[in-house]
Amino acid sequence: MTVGRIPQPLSRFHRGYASLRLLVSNRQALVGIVILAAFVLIAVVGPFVVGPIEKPGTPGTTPLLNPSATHLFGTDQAGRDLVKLNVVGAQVSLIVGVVASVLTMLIGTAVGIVAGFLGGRWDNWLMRITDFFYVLPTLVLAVVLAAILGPNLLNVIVVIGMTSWPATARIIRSQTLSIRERMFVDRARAYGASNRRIMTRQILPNVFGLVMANTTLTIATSIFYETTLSFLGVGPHETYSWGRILEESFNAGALTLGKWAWFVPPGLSVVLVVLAFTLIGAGFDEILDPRLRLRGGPHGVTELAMAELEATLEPRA
Amino acid sequence: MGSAYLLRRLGGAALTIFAIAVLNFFLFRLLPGDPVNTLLPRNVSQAQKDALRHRLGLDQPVLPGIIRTNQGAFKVDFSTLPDSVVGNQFVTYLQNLASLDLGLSFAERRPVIDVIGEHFWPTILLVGVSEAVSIVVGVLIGIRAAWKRGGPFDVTSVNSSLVLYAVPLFWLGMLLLFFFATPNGIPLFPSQQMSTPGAIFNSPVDQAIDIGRHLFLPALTLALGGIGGEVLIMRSSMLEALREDYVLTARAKGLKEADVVRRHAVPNAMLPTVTVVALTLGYVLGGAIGVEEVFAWPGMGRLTVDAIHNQDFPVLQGLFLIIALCVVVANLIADFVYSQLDPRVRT
Repeated sequence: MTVGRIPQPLSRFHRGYASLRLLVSNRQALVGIVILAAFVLIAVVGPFVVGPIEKPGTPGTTPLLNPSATHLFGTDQAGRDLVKLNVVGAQVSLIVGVVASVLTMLIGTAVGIVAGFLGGRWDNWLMRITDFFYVLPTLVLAVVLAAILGPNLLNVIVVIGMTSWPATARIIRSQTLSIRERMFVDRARAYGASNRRIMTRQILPNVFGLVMANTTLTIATSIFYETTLSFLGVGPHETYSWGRILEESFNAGALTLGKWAWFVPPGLSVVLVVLAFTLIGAGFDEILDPRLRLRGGPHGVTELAMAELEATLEPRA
Repeated sequence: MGSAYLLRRLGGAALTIFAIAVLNFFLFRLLPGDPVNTLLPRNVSQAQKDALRHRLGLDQPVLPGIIRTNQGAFKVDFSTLPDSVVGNQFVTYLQNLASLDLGLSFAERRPVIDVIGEHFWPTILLVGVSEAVSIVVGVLIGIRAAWKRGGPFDVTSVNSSLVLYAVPLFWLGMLLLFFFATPNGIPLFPSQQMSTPGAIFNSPVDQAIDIGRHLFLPALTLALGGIGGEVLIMRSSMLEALREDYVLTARAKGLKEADVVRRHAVPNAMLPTVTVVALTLGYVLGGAIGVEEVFAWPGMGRLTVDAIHNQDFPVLQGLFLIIALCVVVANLIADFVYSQLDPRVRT
């Protein structure tokens, strides 16, 4: 009988590399990564290729042109080239999505870990507040807040972050509850580590994978919200986003004019990017929770939906 | 039996509603500017302004010991104390709420409650019809997908649900409008409003048909938006139920597969769906804002957009309160239904 090599614990780098390979080997996640890479390329390189947006009234611009070789998507009511607007839209949507999502994660993770780890009165009050915001219709609250604070990029990001953290807090809390019972937490406590130290050094690294998986999903939601807020007239006013192109096309009567190239590309972009992040998030979850790989087969996403549902429904006592 | 449970839920809902009212009060105190200047024309005297300010209760301190200057800054002012313990804007606001007084609309110069009242039922009709359709269709598809797991029906429905989940509802509405209500597609349906303007109907049936034709596209849009979530949740819940021992027992008894699914798996799989439906109602109400705007449906969503454009903050404040209230009530109903279906929670 030959004895196999004793498996060595993987270094942090190798662990990261291994999960990246797993992510790429997951077909859904791969599709998501490819779509996302295409849009990131458009957002980063695009502006250099297509040039800056024309100022309204620039000589030589004609409003409401149909798609042609020079203007692939035609022009808008002020004569601006719609390809250029869509490229800027990609930038703004991705920036809002990522930054708002980081804010969501910071609030949600902090609330979730503190509530789950400290328990007792902290848990009780924090979860009451969380449940309160969870029940409120998020989009309606976001619209009202954005209307009050005023429509600019920073406010829209803050509004999305402030309204979408409760789901994250609930998921992180339930994960913290199970990690709290593990041996290494007891050991750290026996060494005399403070609560703060245990939360940042023991709990946080262990929920971090879940945080990352959840981030991809909240980026999708954030982009979704930004688009809707912009369409309703409370999005960032100083720049173009896909939602604002849709708002302007709708108000200019693109539907009755039959200008499909005005409102189809930005909407389709939103769908593709949101779908990409959802697929990547599902892939992440399968890596973190191998049970999903066994159960899920090609349908990991639904198991993910259920897992998140269970996490969010659980603390209803 | 479950009266203690119900009472606790009712108490919780009452507390939530109170918290919503408090949040609503403070949110709108953050606004810059003086509402009196918005309500009155430019050339009125200071005395008239002060009279209106007094009538609206804006001359009172915001909270005990805290006043707001006409420029909108907050200041601590203890000289207003003992009086301001009761005589402050917060107490007045709660008193007004209790008598359904939500203030005056800036744009229409009449009570907010009247303005919202006119837009309430169209939204309830739209959201009610689309929720009903999406629940029935979503649950049926979810059951079938779980039953035929891994087959072409399952794969198709899961993938379409994921795509539907990623589509902004207002954009879906724009596409449907473009294809089915403008000459650019096949104009089968009207594109605007809730009924044909100026039409005279011979019978209530004709009128109902007219409203139905107007309702079709916006309701379809919202229903499609809801179906994605319903399918995914029902499918997962069904898969869970099909793994349970009682399903094995039912099969072992020699029941037909259809009976096993219909009588043993489905009733249990339905339970989580009840709660989720109430939670998704908030999502659908939010989505309804954009969809109502696209189809010019005269509901609370359209009113929200108008209020944003007119900077009509009293209406916006009232809308947030009413919509949040609807969601809380829906959750309460879901809790009640759940407790009737599942005796275990009645403790």
